[in-house]
Amino acid sequence: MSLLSVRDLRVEFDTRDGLVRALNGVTFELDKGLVLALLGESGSGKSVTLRAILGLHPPSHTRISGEVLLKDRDVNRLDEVERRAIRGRVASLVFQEPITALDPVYTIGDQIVETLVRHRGLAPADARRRARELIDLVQVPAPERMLRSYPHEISGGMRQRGMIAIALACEPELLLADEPTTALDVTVQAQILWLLRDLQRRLGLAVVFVTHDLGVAAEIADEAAVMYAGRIVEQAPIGELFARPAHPYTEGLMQATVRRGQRGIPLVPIPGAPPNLAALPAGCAFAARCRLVREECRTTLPPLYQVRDGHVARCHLVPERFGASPIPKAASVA
Amino acid sequence: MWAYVGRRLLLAIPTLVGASIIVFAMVHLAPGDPMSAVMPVDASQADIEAARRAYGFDQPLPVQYFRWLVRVVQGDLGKSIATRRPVLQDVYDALKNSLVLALSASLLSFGIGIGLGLLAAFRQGRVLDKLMSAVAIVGVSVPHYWAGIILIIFFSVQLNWLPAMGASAEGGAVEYLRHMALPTIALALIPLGVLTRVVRSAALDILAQEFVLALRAKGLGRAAVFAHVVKNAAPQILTVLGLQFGFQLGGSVLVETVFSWPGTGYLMNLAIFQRDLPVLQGVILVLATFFVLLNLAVDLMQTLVDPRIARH
Ligand SMILES: Nc1ncnc2c1ncn2[C@@H]1O[C@H](COP(=O)(O)OP(=O)(O)OP(=O)(O)O)[C@@H](O)[C@H]1O
Ligand code: SF4
Ligand SMILES: [Mg+2]
Repeated sequence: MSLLSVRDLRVEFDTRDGLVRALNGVTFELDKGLVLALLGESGSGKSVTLRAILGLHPPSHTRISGEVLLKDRDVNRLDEVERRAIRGRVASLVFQEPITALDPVYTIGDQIVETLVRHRGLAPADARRRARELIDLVQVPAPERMLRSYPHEISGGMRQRGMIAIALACEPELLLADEPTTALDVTVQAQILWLLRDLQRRLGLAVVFVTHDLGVAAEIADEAAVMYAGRIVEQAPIGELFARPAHPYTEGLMQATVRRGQRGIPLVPIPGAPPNLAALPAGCAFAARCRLVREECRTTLPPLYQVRDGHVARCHLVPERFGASPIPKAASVA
Repeated sequence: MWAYVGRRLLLAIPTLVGASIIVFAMVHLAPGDPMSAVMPVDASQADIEAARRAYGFDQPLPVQYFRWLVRVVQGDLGKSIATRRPVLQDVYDALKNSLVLALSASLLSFGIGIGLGLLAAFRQGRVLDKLMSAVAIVGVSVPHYWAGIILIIFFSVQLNWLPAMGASAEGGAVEYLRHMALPTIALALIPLGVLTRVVRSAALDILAQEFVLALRAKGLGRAAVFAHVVKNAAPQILTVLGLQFGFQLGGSVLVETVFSWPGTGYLMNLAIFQRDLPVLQGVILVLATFFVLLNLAVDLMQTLVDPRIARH
């Protein structure tokens, strides 16, 4: 059984502009110790997916269906108290902007300690000792100073290390990283990425790594899922995805990205903008921007097709473009 | 930290000097001759001149200011023109009464206001929140002298439960408290409304920040999140508390007059009508000093609760 299994997850927000369908049937699995990259443009539903895994969406304005099985327990069926026991303990969240995700009037040390006290019930002195170990774990040059510092007193890279230390405090098995390097300077980005990869391997963490940077995904992930308008439109092992992108949107993403040894090949941005989630089209959500669009694309939602073993894509053209395996995979999921 | 406190104290001195100049100028530039109020109508020009000289009103203004300031620093606020009692004694008694009233009204309004504001924020959009907002709006929009009169009509005249006038020291503590009840309520209404609204919006601002989601994401419960929100809102709330306390101390002229509460507001009112310059100066100066010290205290407390303010 996998550590995390998300099945047909749907999340809708009641807003003044109508019902925003942020997730429209997201399905994926993640085993212990593996890294899944969640790719996609802004607004495709990556952050909403991570929050849904921890059951963090406020119940008052949100409708959620489907399953989020975390160690075989469905988060969507747990009550708030049971969910709290999971958050930070079984799965932790690392945010994009540590400066907004850390409490500005608590020291880094206090923010680590409070997590330990919450889940481990440690005595303050023990919690402090453990906090020091965690700071060492995230490789900070001046650990004691770091523990005593408020978030505004340290650099962006150090803040993100603090955030990671908090996330790892109670030894979770799953780390949900929401663009953890995007807000940082380029050189610091590389350091944090290295740190995360190193920690992932040493601690055997499973990671859902949200990014819109294909290069970052290639560095860290075993597998990648590409999201578009609240659906996973393609999923494959990372090498396979780069070798054989099967969905026109994935191809577009790759052409819009700078890659090593790519000199001479022009960068082609994807024209147009993602669809309005409050008024999704009946057929393929990418149809308005797709260079290969056909009549049936506008009327019929494409099912997931198997491109190869472990490689699926949600596009009507997969059977004819990639030959042999035109069997729609799991029609119940689509 | 202590160096910081010392520097802030030194910085308060020019502010106080400025306040004293304004107080002095304000009173001396006001139209009307202070002597006309105290001299008999049939006093001769020579008598008036003599009295003028006795009070020092014949000197140039800067000289009058320095003489006044030197005496003030020594604790001599002069004598009341109307009663001939030392001003310091009158101001001291009045300040004591006002302070008692301001403290009790603050206790009432701060406690209830902060509580209601937080409650409303954590129940945003629900019935309770809307009810609190309505209470807050009534609190800030009812003129408090009018509220005072309504309270008197209801509790003193109709029900005859509580006294409407004065501060009786003779009847002992219980009598004093009974006299305090109505003016306290009247005085507390506005700060209660202001605080409810400020606290609610401060807490809502904080609840909307990402770190609150991060706190929930690490498994903290409602009480722990609440503590974080309160600590984050504290600096902003503290500022409003300081201001409101200052207003209650000095801005209660109407309430004190309606209830004949012998505080600074009442004394100031009296001094204005009697053109009693030394008393007016004394009251305003003492209140201004209180304001400056209050601001200083709030500033210092803020550096204690808010690590983002540099402590050097
Ligand atoms: N609480 C909410 N209420 C209403 N709409 C929401 C809410 N949270 C997210 N959305 C909407 O859901 C969609 C998906 O948002 P999400 O934050 O998951 O995007 P994302 O893929 O993480 O993008 P980015 O790369 O910008 O972080 C967006 O259109 C967003 O406006
Ligand atoms: S289904 Fe049609 S519109 Fe959608 S990606 Fe495939 S070809 Fe393009
Ligand atoms: Mg996001």
